[in-house]
Amino acid sequence: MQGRGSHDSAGALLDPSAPTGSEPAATSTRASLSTGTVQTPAGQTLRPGVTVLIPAYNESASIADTIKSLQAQTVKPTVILVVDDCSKDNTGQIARDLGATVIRPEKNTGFKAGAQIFGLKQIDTEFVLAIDADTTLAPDALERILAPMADPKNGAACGMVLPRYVKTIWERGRYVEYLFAFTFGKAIQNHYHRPMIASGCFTIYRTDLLRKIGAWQPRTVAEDLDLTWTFFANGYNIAFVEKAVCYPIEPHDFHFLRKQLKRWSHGFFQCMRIHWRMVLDQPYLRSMIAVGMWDALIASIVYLFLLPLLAVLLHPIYLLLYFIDAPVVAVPVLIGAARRGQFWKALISLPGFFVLRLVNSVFMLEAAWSELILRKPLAVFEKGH
Amino acid sequence: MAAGLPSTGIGGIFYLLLVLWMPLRELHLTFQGRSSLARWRGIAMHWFVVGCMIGMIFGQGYLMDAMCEWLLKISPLDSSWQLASMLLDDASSPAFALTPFVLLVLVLGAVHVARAMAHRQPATPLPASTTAQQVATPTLAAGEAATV
Repeated sequence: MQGRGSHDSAGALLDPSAPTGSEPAATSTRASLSTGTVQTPAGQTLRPGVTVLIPAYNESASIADTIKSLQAQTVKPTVILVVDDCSKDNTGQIARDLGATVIRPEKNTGFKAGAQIFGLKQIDTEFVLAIDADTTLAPDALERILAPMADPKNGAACGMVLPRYVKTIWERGRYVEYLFAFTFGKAIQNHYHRPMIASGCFTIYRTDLLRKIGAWQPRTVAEDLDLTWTFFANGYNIAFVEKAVCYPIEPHDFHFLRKQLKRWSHGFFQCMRIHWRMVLDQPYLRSMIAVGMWDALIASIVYLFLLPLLAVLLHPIYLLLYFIDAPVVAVPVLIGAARRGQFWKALISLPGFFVLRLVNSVFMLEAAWSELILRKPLAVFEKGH
Repeated sequence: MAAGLPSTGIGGIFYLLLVLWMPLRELHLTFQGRSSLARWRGIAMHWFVVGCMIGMIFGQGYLMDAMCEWLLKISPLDSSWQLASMLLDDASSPAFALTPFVLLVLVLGAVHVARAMAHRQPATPLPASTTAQQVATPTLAAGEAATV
């Protein structure tokens, strides 16, 4: 994988089923890394391969599982680079003992993007795989997510996300939410080359393009959404590979869920404020975001104010409207789960989705009020789990 | 339609329409030699899912109608359940079903109006260092980890 030679294209990959210049395949394929050095269009000389970049702060409980899952990949990463962001526990030592390369800034960078930017400076491979320190990968995830990178129009590729643990009502709600969003929504977005977000917990990037467009910016609390839209603004596509699966640890209680939802909802509006003009020029993306924003705001008002009022003033039967779209949600979720042999798990988890949706509504309205009306942006990066 | 966004409302309809639009778009791409069998398979899968969803919606409408009739039969005149049956009947009426489509057209229309208005103003994209000032730079809360 690290042999020397000459290779003058940006895609040091083999992927016979997805020839350069064609529309990306709807189903993911597998890829293998070739050898040689890579001269990028930006004039950088990189070696073929993938560096896995893991920003970590006090992740001693989960970092070992993450590294072991990377070492068990069918296509081995060239380097596993852990940025130990001045952890107070032994995160760095655990990673080092498992064979990862560990670097440490002089002081805590203050945010995830800061640690990632610090790590990016050390990377000399053609691709960067960004994953979180509490995320494990399916054994073939790297091989599968590499496949669409054979197309030079793809600046990045993201994978399917499923919670590692599905026990509490919040984890169950998130599990259904992910099944719905990834197997239905994002799969359709991908068909039109505009996945709304390449999840920060599992996305691969071309190193040279990442540097060229400024990489992760600390200007929002949703650096992954910001980066996704920056790729689009610069004319690059992002592919979504449903069969490349990662398993992050999702919030198991309301304490952590609150922090995560606050960051996601505020991050969404912060990105809107930065990218709105660019978004208006992106076919499909502008429509997806417009209807998403409308639904987020109007549905939140309906769930939190209108339906309770109608139930109290007119008749309790109006409470049924909380579940009026249950069939629409259930169909793609159960089909997606059945394809993974998880039908019953999804069926049992469905009620959690409707509870989580109500909670989402509260945070979405609060974020809209703070970011758009009061102009008071969230300025603290709080970990969701 | 992303995790954290709370609804399927008009977004759900928009995605259904995107799926229904796929074959026409793909046919165009096929003539240009930019399609593949894998993409057509993907479209078939999307159509299957959307077909099931539409079937479920009609099934739900049928059930709601049946529930209205049942409520009308069993509840005494002028009772609150009579009112409930009428409300349910309204919820499954064609006018109620058409409302989200009208809203969708209005929202998508508003996007294009906004785009036209934005293009009237000179495009002055701010450099990254300036845009970064539009929102405050986040800092890590004490004791918090720097991962999602």
